[in-house]
This record gives sequence, C-alpha cells and structure tokens, in this order.
Amino acid sequence: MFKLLNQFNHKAEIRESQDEMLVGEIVRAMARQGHPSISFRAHDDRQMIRFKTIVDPVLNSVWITLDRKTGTGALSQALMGSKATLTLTAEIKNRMTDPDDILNMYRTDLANMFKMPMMGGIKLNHELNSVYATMTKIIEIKTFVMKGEVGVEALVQLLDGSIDQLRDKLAPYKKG
Amino acid sequence: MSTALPPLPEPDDELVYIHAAEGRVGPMSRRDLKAQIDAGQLTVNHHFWFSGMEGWQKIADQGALLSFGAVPTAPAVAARVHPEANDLNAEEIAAAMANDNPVVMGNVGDFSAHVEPGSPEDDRLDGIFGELVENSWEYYESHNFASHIDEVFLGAIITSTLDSECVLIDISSDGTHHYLRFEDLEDHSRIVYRMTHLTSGLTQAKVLGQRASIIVGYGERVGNFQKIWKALQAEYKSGLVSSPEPGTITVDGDMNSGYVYVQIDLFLTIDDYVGADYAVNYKQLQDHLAACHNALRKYLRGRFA
Repeated sequence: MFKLLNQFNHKAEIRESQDEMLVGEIVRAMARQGHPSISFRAHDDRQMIRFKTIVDPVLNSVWITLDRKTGTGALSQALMGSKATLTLTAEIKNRMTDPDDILNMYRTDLANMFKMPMMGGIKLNHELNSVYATMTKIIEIKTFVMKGEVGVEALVQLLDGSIDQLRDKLAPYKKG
Repeated sequence: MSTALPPLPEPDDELVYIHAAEGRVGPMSRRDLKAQIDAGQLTVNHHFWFSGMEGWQKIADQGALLSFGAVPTAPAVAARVHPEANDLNAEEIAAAMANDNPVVMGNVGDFSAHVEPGSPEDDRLDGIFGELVENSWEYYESHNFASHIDEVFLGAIITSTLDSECVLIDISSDGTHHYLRFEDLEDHSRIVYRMTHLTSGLTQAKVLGQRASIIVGYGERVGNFQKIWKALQAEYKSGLVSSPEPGTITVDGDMNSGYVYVQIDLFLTIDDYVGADYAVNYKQLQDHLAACHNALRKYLRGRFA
C-alpha cells in the first residue's frame, strides 16, 4: 500500500488535476461512442490515449493528446485560464493483400499527399499500411470539467465534430 | 548424400548395378530398374552404381535415373513449377518426370523466374501472397487484442467510476502497473486502483484467460492527524505484506493530503468484463466495483468511528 500511494503526485489542489479530469471525461465520452481505449501514455502535463474505433466504418483508431499549456498555478490560471491543446489523430488502415493494389496506392494517392503541418487545419501523412489525419485545437479545460452533463455533452460534440472532419479527409484513401 | 552424376546410360543399356540385401544385382537397364521398382521388387531406397560414378548413391536422391525423356533445362523447369512438388516422394517425382508431368524436384523455389504481370500465373501467385498476408493480419489482430485488453479494461474502470459521480485526478503507468485515483466531489472520498495485466502474451492468454491483479483502495480525509498516526502504527504490518491473501484488508495513510486508505487485493478475469469484440460489460463491472467500495467504506468507517 505504501508503494501504491507513492505512485500518485498528490497535487495540492484540485485545480492541478484538471487535465487528468479531462482525460477521464475524454475516455468516458469516447466509450459512449463505442470507442474503447487501447493505449495510455501519461506524463506530467501531456496525456496521450489511443482509442479503437470499433464501430466506425472508415477509421481504425484515434489518438487524442492533451497538452496542458497554462493554469497549473493559481496566478496563471487566473490570468489565462486553463488552456490546453487537444490534438486528434485519426488513422485508417488499409489491409491490402494484392501487391498490385499496394503499388497503385503508393504511386497515386500517397505520392500526392500533403505533408506540411498546418495549425488549425488537417495534416495528412502515411506510414506503411496506415494513413493519418491530424488536427489540433486550443481548448479551455474548464469548459468541460466539473460542469456535469453539460460539460460531458460539450466534450462529446467537440470530439464527434473533430473526428467527423478527420474521417472526411481520410475516406478517399480507404481501400477495400 | 547425393552428388552429381556422370552422363546417364541410355534407358536400355544394361549398365546399372543395384546394391540389395541379397547382394549386388545387375547389370540392368534403367528401364528395367524402373519396372522392378514399379513391381515392388526394388525400392528407391536401394543404392545404384554405373561406370563413371565415384560411389553408390540412393535411387531416391537421383530422380533423373528413372526419367527417360530429355532432362529439363533450368528455364523450362521454372516454367513448370508445380505447387504439389514438395508433397511427392522420390518415386512419384521420378514417375512424374518420366511421364513429363509438370512436376520437378529442386526447382520449386526459383524466385528469379519472370512472371508476366496479369498472367494467370501472376494472379495465382498474388492469390497465395494475399492468403499469407490475410492470415498474418489475423495473427496480428489476435496479438494486438491480447496486449491491449488491459488498457481496454483500464478505460472501462475509468468510465464506470466516473459514472459513479467521481472525477479522475491521477493517472500514471510504470510500464507494468497502471495507477488511477479518483475523487468524489460531493464527499471528497477517494478511490485508488492499481491494475496489473498478468497474461499479456497471446499464448498465456489463450491458455489461462486474460487475468489481472487489481488493488482497490478507498480513502477518506481524517482531520485528526494523531488518529491517523495511531492507525498507521497499529496497522504498520500492512505495509510490509507484499502480497496479501484474498480478503485481507490493509490500511495506509497519506500524510500530505490527510487521507486514510483501506485496500484489498483481488484477481480478476478480464474476459468477464471485456469481450473478444472489445465490448465491455459495464453493468457487471460497476456492480463489482460498487461491492468493493461498499465493503471498504464500511471497514474504514468501522475502524475510525
């Protein structure tokens, strides 16, 4: 038990745990949409979770990264709020088995893919069988945490809307 | 051990000797040799020799001995690769060669043979390649599921606990254990979990099922520091128990936050909560977690009342 308690940061105030609260709400919101978590990477101010998009006809998985920028101290929170960047990366996986199709995919779709990062826009990239679309949003954490169902609903809308946009960008690259 | 043969005698030249159990047999022609093998009087396990050879060799090692057509050249062989060649024994291969069937030995893996794109052979090979990739995907997905299921379960614990009006205030992982801490914003009680996946390998999981050990802790803030200290002194041995037996409730405290916790170690079968299609049985999980919290809360309040 001593070891167990030592694993936690025991942050002095609940304010300092707002990003963890939001991570919890993201996990619940995604679960409600039928997307279970399959990977967690937690750091002090950066949390990354991967979700398996079981019920999605196009997407294979979605990564959500929460990177807290301000608000860990009382002064910075009062001045700037609890700002964070929320990065969503959606992945499609082409389970291609025909060598001719794989060759065609590389010659046409992937060779023409836009690779430059673009704030506020959607960046596309590919790696082996996967094609990724990424977008980054700046959010105010307090909009979503400790607000009850209103906060949860706002979060679901944010995530759903973002994933819809990413899916639209990736759909042309989905094969088979 | 087979070695290269000198030029073979003509099929009807009686120049071949056989080393049989009753002694040397022959000379006989290659055609007679094949007839005796077909009749069962000799087998391809017998050894043969003809003038020019350095020593005796097993008939099975030299299929050309029983082939009376032209010996195929390498390009011709490559064009006649038969998928079943590896399943044939030496006799069948020799017979097939004698009948000029498209079966050859030792050339099945001629990867340098050019196959015309779009040809029937190209399609056939693409089909084989596709099956290999498809089978690999199945293995890959099974392996992924076995390694991800603990984190599916972790997400299910988060969702279930949030549905009990708590908020997540800590999450961490050291690569082996996952740690979660929640707070009930109404009464400020806290719940901690340490979850460890015990069967992360696919083979282990298939044999044993998906198992996890989980420590569930319940804590409340106790204002009186002396009271906490006394409790910890009384329960000091709890912290030294590295692996408590099931049903053992141990006590600990966090001096910084003024919380006293009680905890219990459990072993769970993750398959009971997470299906092969990643579907989570939330009702069962919430029931089980609620039972743990209720028992721990009663114990804690009973001890410090």
